[in-house]
Amino acid sequence: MMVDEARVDDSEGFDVFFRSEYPRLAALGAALCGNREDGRDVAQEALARAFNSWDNVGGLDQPGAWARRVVVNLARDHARHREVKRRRLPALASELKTRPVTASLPFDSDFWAAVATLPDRQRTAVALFYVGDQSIGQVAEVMRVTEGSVKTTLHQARTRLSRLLQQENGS
Amino acid sequence: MSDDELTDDPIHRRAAAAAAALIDSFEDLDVEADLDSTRHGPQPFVAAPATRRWLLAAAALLIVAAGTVALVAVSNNQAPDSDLSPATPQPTVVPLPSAPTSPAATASTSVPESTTTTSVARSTLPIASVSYLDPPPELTLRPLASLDVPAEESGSYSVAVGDLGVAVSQWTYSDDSVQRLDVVDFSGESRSFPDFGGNALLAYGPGDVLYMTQQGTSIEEFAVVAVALGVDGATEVRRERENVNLFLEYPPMSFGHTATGVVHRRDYLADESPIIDYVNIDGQPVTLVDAPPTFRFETAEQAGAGLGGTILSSLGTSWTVAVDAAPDRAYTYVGISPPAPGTDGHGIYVTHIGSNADPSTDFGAPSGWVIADLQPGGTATWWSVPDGWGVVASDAWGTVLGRRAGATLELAFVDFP
Repeated sequence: MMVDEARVDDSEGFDVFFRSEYPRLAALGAALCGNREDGRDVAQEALARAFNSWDNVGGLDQPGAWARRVVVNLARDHARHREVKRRRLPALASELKTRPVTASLPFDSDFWAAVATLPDRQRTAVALFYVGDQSIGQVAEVMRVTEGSVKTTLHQARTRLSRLLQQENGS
Repeated sequence: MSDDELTDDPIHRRAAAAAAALIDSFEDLDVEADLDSTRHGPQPFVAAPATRRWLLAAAALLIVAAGTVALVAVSNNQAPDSDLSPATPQPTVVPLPSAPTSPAATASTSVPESTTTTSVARSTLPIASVSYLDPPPELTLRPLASLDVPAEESGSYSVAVGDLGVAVSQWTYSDDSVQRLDVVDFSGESRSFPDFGGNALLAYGPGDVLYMTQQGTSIEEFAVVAVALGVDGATEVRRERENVNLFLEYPPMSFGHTATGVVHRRDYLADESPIIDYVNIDGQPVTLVDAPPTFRFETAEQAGAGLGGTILSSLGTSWTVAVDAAPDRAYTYVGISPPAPGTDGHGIYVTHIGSNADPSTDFGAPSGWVIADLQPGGTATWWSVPDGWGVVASDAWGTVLGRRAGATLELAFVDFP
């Protein structure tokens, strides 16, 4: 059962919410960050924030959507900090360059490598739609854009992925 | 693309399969152990205690379509420039002070001289409501400075508040536009920079660096620049070309700080990398630790209406605010400001609940401005803005109100009880 669909407001609600959402949030984080370890970290951080504000978060109609939004934001911060390190800490730059962002993602690493090259908005839409198991409307809500924009973004992402993956197959 | 077409799309099928495999791979998580850790482990994400102020940078931009633009920056006695000048290319960390020293940082714990009515807060969890039928008590203001600015018909100004004070950029509308920058520190001491080239301020700080728009002679030349303020005047130390459309017709407080740079407050949580990264007065990168939280409404519709909703912070706190506005409420051309940081871990949300004060104009004239003080624990309290004043900037160092009277701009801080 998706906790989103059942408002959680009892004292055990957070535990139910955690057990239900944690694996998928971790997968969502992994898709956005590019590896399992960081995905788990951002999921745990998002859930820790939910725990600290459970009086409010637990009362939301869709606490799962709230958590997905936090994961997206944390993953974006993670990517930004990684970029800052790469740009400003030369000693780390080579290490970051040599560590593929998809190094630890299982199954179809070519696909995730292609996803990692997408623009932020397209990558977020793909992760939320496919990994986050969100409807177009829910993705729009999390990304604060219209449903039409999500459809367009996903179409652009699939087109770009198709081109990228065909190039790989051809090379 | 229809559902059938989507199902036939090989990339869609591949994405679905890859996602399913990725999700399955997390089935081996030790959920119970991580749940226990979350429940009983360190909780680093609660709001900072009141005694541990944020030394953060943030700013506010006020761009009003009809030509009312305001931005200010404030300064205190901390963080000398040398602290922001790294010896290596590594980013400098601006540390948090162990105790606040600036008037702004201590604002919430001081006992202000009451010049207007104050009373006990009336709004608490879960919903903080405000109604035009029973307006909340008026805020107490703490005067900061009075500055000469162009009269409303001949020029405008912008305001930003930062860790070193309040900055006011002003300009006239004429072709030979007169531009000037004034910086007022928290003690009221001011510096003036005549012939200051630039327009609306986006942010002030960290340190004595302003972030502002610069029009140029064509749309292609539009840029956001970082300008260092020194004894010899203002010096551009960084420039980023930008799309001018992103900087038009925004309400006050539309821009602020994150850890690494200036962002659109309205858009940050949805999709943003900084508009411009921080630099010190030498143009070297700097980074803020414990940057102020960002705020946003749960839905875009709530954000645009100015009639309340659920506000979420990047720290995980949420507030539900309800606004009962007069039926003939006016609408502002530039919309409602996004929620912004205030002092001591608070946030603010500004809207208006009164009747249209000038129905003869297209959008009318808003009245009955009110501020919700968003407290770290998730409670909120509504306050009325004194007549004639408006919020022009808000950040971790203070919430700044302005009142224009002819060619004079009065500035004051708000002290939330």
